[in-house]
Amino acid sequence: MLVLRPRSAAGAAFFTRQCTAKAKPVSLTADQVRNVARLARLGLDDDQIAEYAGELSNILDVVASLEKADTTDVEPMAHPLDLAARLRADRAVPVTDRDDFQAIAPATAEGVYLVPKVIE
Amino acid sequence: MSHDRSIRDMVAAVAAGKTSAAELTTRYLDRIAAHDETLNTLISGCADTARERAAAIDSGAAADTPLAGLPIAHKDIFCMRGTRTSCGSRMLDNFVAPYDATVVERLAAAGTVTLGKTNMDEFAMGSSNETSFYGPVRNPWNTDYVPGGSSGGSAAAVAAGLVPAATGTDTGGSIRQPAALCGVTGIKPTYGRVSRYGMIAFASSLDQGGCFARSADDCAHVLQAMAGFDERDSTCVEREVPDYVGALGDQGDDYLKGMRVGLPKEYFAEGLDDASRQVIDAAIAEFEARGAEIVEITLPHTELAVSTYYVLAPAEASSNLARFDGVRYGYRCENPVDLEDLYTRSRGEGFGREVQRRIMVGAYVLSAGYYDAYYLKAQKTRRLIAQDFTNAFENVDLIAAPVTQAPAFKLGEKLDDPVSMYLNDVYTLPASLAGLPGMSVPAGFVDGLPVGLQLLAPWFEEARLLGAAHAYQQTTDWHTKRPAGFE
Repeated sequence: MLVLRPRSAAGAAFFTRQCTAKAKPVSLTADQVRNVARLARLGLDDDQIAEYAGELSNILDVVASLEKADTTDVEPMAHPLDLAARLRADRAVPVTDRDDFQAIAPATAEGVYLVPKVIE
Repeated sequence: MSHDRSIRDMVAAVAAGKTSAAELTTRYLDRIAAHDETLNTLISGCADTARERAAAIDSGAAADTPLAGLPIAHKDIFCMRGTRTSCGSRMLDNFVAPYDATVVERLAAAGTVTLGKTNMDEFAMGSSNETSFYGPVRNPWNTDYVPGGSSGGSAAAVAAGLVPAATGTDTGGSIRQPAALCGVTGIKPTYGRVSRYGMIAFASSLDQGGCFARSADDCAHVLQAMAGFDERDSTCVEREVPDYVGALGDQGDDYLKGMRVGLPKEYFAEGLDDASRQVIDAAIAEFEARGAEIVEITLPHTELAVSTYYVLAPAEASSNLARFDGVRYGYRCENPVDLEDLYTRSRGEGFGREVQRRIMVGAYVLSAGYYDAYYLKAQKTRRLIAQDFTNAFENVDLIAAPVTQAPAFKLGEKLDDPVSMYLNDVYTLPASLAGLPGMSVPAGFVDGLPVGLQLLAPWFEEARLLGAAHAYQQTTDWHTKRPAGFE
């Protein structure tokens, strides 16, 4: 279950109301967290995985209260202003030159970015 | 010239030759030197370039600009050419921006002098400024307490008088909450009002630049220079910017007369600390005394805001932060054995814990099998929350509410408990999700810690927010208070 330290009894009541209206607490396993970390390309050790499993489960527990909202016939809102994408002329505009960008790169040579060998 | 003068007075004094940009710059740099070791509001100082710039302005370099000679600081999320732009992260500790953000460019063109880049929660993810790679900012009202976040450095710097104004960004409350906790005035404009170009992205459908200063009138001066269409940000809105500064200058004493101010009952329900509530009640009574009509309203989907936000913001963050891969800029791990190792170790070592948590929450809610249940569902509840405001603004001109449930908490108190930290944002998240403009206005104190009054207006009605806050500040003096030791 969640371990919470709200500032006040009233805060606790608010929180409990938010988090209890669901079937069962979300509990991520270490393997699930390892999979998410892999998807996100985050290199984590086993201790970190274990800590994150608990923390992410707590967060997803809060988020699970979305389930109870009635969203029948509600259009998803991707953008706060519901505007159509603005179009612009397809023309070249000057940008910072390559040397400026490559000056801050970890490793470059002759105008390319260097990474470990990817093809044997 | 005192650091307590208004921006209006300062720029007029520079223009009239009664003071100089150099004098103002030196005055504030001296205050930074005296106090910032304690407060840690700045990640990078720009003293040398600031002095050069001030000297150039005194030689006529910014003639006829509206803010000539005004010292400011930028949140370290805004790219500033030739200056480290860290976003509070080890990942960008070595990142020297190759270009200026539009906000930086416009404020420079308006004649400001940048004194430094302010501390912040890492990638703007946090509500206490404790997730910064550069250590926490301390609240000048009590240095054992947090300044709020994520723009904690900007808020604390203005509160302590280290700068007259500073920029910030607000994704879920990151301007309003630290403004409230530090006792300064902060404005988060409508989504799309201020360009996001060169502002390091956290959650692109929510991020919005704004500013902190002592008063609404000061904020109007800074916002005036920041706001407006920019073709380099595809979500920046092509819409005329009203004359905020002129409007406040001309504003009569009866501005609030007949204004309908709604109090959302959900923001005054369980959870709100009693002492904070008394402060907010007194502020609302002042609005009423000035002729505002106070009505109760309902925003029935408020309780979905935390859940909605903590799906959508991490989802967008996990996508935005994919660009930090150790290849083109930023942190790269030592001796990567292959490309995968380069990616995973650079990101594992370069990002802090809160950022990693949010990236993983985002990756999880976007992953196959969970997308509909979390991400799509949250986009729908987002609309319900926004629709609440549309309905409310059919009957009221303005919404007034608390910014937070309680004043600042102690450093370390919530750091190990992300969920408790997230719940802290309950009053600021709904307006962010709706894209509405909002302000925090100093309204009083509880046990020596500031309390902010939140004002929300319909989309693009920043002028109304500033007008109402300015009217309130004409008959109250909370915004003029200085923390002990920083007078």
